[in-house]
Amino acid sequence: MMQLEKIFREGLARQQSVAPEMVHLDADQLTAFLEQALSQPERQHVMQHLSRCVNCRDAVALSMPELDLMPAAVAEPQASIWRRWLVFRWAAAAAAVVVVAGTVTLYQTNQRRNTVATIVDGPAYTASRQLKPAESAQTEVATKTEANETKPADRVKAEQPVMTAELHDRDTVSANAAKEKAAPSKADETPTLMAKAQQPAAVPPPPVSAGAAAMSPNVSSPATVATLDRPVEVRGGVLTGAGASGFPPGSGRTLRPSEEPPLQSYDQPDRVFTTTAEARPQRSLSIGGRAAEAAKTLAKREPMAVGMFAAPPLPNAPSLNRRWIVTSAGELQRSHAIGEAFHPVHVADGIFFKAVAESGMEVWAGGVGGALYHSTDDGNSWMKLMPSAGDHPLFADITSIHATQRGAADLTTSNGEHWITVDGGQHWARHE
Amino acid sequence: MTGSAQTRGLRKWSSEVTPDVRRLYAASPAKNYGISEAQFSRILDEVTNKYLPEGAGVEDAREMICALRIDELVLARACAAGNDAAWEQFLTRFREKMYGAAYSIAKQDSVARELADSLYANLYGMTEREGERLSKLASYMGRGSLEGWLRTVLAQEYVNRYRTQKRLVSLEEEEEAGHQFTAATPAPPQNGDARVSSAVDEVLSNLGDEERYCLAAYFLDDRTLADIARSLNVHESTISRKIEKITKGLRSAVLSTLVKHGMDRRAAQEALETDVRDLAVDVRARLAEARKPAPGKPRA
Repeated sequence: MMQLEKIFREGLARQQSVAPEMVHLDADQLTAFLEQALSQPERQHVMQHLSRCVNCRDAVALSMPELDLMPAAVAEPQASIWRRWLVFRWAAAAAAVVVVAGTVTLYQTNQRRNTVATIVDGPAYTASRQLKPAESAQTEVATKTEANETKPADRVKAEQPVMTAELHDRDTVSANAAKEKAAPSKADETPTLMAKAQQPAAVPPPPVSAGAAAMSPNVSSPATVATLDRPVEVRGGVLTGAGASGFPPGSGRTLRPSEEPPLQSYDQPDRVFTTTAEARPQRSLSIGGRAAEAAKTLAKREPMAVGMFAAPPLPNAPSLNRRWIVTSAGELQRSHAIGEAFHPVHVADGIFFKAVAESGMEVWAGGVGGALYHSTDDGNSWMKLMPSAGDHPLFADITSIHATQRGAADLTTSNGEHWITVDGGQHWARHE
Repeated sequence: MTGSAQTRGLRKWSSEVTPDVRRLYAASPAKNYGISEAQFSRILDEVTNKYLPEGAGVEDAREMICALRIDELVLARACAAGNDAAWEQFLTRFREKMYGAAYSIAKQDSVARELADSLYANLYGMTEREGERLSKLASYMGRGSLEGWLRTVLAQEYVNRYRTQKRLVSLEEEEEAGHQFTAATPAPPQNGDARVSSAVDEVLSNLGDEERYCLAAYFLDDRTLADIARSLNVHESTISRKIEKITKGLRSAVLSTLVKHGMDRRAAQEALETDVRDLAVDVRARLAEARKPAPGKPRA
């Protein structure tokens, strides 16, 4: 038979078409063939080609989905089904006899010994002992599968309460840090600023939004909600004051002149950045003033991250490397690594997100009614922002966000406004 | 588009299929992606032009368009047109699957990523013609699922690359491996062996396409019975019995053919049991010869 196979193999090889002008089947035809979506004449034509074209046969073999995704194969021929049913019937009967005999023996043994069985396994495993062997295996598999399926979601949700606790701790730490940092430093500073820095308690606490108290524990605490028109003192590049409670030193809010070029646009000859209430008209980004400078800064957009791929960045293409998306249902989702599945990320209740942008570890998410959240730790914790420019708060839907460098973002709203920040959302400029 | 191709499209039966087209359009997300009803109709026309056979009637056309994956078709075409919302949907639904398919095809991380990136570039459209971006997604016709289509495109690209690389063989490596560059192969001698080859060719030509496909996949491509069964959506045991039956039938058929051509039965049996190396059938030469175009050449 081996010789015969060799003869047939060679005969088949002779029948393969190797003409270079041969037109191969297109992807639609091959896909429809695999999915049984071709009419009979079409299927015949495809089969005719596949019988003579090794390239297309290879493509078919490679493009078949994984086994568990394949549609159920046609039922076996009736004869083999009947044979298998007979075998199964006898096997089931034998198994039942064994189980009954074993149970009776066990019962009698326990009665003789007069001991109390202690349950050392969990309920699921104990229950499985009462089942037939075949069923118990299935139960264990189902239990394990269930446990595995819940892991990604559980992992995401489990992170947030921990992070919230940390945020609470950071609040406490930042308050203490504010007091410690009130001590004179070696950096250039004025006596006025030193005096103010030593009295952080004098600065009134930031207003808490009505919705903040109702927010779930997963969201940043009310104490960390930043209102952008509150005075915030900045000394030597470190935020102090009650407003700074929303920006703990370790969370990326620390501003150092050498690392934060946009902030150096403030005219402070001694390199001390002050944004007190009285200096606000000069400090806050207003239209035509600092906004113009902010806009120029944002105009120098960084190229989109290419990641580790060799392919050049596609102009204006939605990045394949991004890890944050917003679904059509307004849900924010994240992928832990490029190429992996997206999982929902809960930021706050009742928020319908419409746009998200990422820049390294920094994430901006905006939605209906001007809802805006900012994270500097890749979404592990979030800060609710309430942009306002003077007396004009942001209330329209945020429809797109463009994040460039760290701390900088450009929002577009449903009423055609552009909101720009260069300092992580502390100050905003509004363009119509 | 040629005149004969136009007669196969929906325009030929526009008044009869318009209600179906409208119904499909209303049920699809085409409007959300900025595709008008006229554009939608043109897309369906393109599909029917390409795949409807000659002489097809309006019922065939109706059946074809109703069997299309309309939602995925409009998504793909909207992406090809550069619709942002469509791209958001596409990336959400298919990015992970694209990478997964590339991994399962290439089995190597670096090759898989390169394959997926290359496909993404083609899908997005790196080239332009007459100011219009050429996206591969514009060639998706909705006959099968978009996920399956992406997988098939990846597989075809992988096959093309792999076969291209196989053809480009280093001469130094070949010499080091001991391969010698032979001269042109002489024609095989006319003896009983040629009659066996001829008989085998005749019998194989009379096989059905599906039978030939099974044999080719099993004997030439070394596919498993399970893989062949999956491609045909039948059970593995069905393929096993089929191949066994075909090979038995082939032996009888070849014997009969040899006897019919004047060979003694005993000699024919001995010829089938002779070592293949004595047959002087040069497979390389046969494969290198230009073959006749595949029957049933698909329409462009």
